[in-house]
Amino acid sequence: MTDTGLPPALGIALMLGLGALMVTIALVVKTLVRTTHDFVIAGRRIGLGFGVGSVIAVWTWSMAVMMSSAQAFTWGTSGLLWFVVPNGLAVMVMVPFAVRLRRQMPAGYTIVEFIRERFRSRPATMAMLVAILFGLLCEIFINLFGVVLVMGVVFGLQTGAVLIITLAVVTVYSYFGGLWTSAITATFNTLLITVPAAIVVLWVIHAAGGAETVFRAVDAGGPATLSAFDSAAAKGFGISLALGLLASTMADQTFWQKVWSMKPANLNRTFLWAGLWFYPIPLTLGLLGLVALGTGVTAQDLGAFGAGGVGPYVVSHIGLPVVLIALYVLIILNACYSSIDGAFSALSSIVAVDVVKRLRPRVSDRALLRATKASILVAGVVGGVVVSSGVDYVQLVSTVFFIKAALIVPLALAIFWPRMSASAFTASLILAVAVGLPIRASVGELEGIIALEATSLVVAVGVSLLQRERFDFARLRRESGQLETHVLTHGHRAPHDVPPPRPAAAPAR
Amino acid sequence: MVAIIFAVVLGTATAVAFVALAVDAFRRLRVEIAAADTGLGSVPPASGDVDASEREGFPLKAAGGVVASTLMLVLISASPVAWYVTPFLAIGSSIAVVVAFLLERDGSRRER
Repeated sequence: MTDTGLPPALGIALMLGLGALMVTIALVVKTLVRTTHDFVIAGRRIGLGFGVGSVIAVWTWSMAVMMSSAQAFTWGTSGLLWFVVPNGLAVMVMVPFAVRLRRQMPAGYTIVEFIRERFRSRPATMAMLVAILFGLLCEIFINLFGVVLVMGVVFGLQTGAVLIITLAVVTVYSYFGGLWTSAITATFNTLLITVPAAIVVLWVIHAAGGAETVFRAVDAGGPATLSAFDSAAAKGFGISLALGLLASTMADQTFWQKVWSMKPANLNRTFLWAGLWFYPIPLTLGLLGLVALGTGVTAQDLGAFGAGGVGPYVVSHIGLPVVLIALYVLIILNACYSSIDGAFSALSSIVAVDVVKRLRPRVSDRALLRATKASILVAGVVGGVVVSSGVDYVQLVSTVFFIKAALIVPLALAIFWPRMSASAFTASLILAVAVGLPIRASVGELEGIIALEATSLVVAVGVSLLQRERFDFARLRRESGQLETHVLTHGHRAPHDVPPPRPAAAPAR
Repeated sequence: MVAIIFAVVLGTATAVAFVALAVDAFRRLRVEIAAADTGLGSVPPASGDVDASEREGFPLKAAGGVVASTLMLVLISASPVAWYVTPFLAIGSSIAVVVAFLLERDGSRRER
């Protein structure tokens, strides 16, 4: 790959500079946090502005930003369609599940907690806990990969340095303020993604000779490049990606944490607006892939970085001023930082509610908050060790997300269907993966995910019907969450050791 | 070039409004939390008063989003003009957040 001539020090300055801005915001925001309840669920006070802003940013993964360009480069506009449309839909589809679960379990914190309270089954709870934790770690890995890619293409920076700086920066500012920091910094990340994206892409189009020139060149490349409904992209990656993306929101504590942290009246509108207004981001950045097609960029030009590097390649090789190249890099950094921070925050909520509080129910809030914050540091270290170990974490991420797709059906049924049983939940997960993974390995991704979802559905429904259980969703309803009882009883934020509320007695069958 | 200049102007204006409203929202949060600490403000109910009416129209709105994004892609495939429009939709995402802050601010004024 051609050397851009840009100094690596500029890349490091951008990472640290953005990090300094986020840390500054975090130090101001941390004044909102007094208790673990504030740290993991923002006191359930997130309003519409920070809600919409943070959900957009947390869903704008750095890799996704570059993949929109990559799919446009590889498949033309049909690739962009199959990448973009399911992405926004995955956020909007959360609405009915979010509304239903928030109404059933208004004082919840995590989706693992829901499964635990819903089924009272150790295997089901453990399966959910493991899947969610692995999913969050993979979310961190995939965003790190995006930053490594852009820094490698534009500045020639080595993987190790990029990983250490990125993880250190995000870990530090996530540590201060928890979900409040995550929501507010992510909102600013949305601004720093969207406005620069518009300016950079318009400038790239101008530098390439104007939209008409590039459009004609792309059109000349073949009938499929500007055919939004060409079927090759659907078969190649579109359908399996669409199903996998559904799992990425529904089986992701990053989003469920938002569900329980918002003021209830904003829930519907937040996810709808975030899903709708997410669309312009990959649409805009996807145009870089089309510009690459129109200006004759080839796979050889992209070298080892592959199609994922086409966006950074176009921006850094088309003759843009350095400030605009830096602006593009900042887009990727903002996408990465917001998503990793969101994952850290979600992970800390799982640790607080589903690990520490379960192992030590009488833990003081001060000790719980310390452990919760420490989990972010641990996650940062684990992330750094894995991605710098040389393991093929792209393959790992791909496999984990495939497995997570097995959660869609049983989780949806658990939320809506009172007859869904614990055994059905666990069996459908295990069998879906047992059937889907080998088919994925031997036949293909699309066949594998269809087999996985079909098995999941048949087993979940079949076993539940055979067991004839019926769950009373009213059991989930508590007036206060297990971390907030002391706030309501004492009316102020002194940390007290308050025993958790007794679980409701199981109804007689 | 005109499009770039317009995007810079619009983007800058959006950024200024965005930051101002975000800071304002943060200040209101601090007041709200301080009031709750002293027992003077209401603690947000854990019970989700998620108005059932909010769900009405969800399928239509989600479908509308899918149709709109698909339509944009059809336009990008059909006309180079759409390539100039799309980046302005990205600025629209930040404008949507600005509008969200405004609605939130108006809502909290009405509550008082």
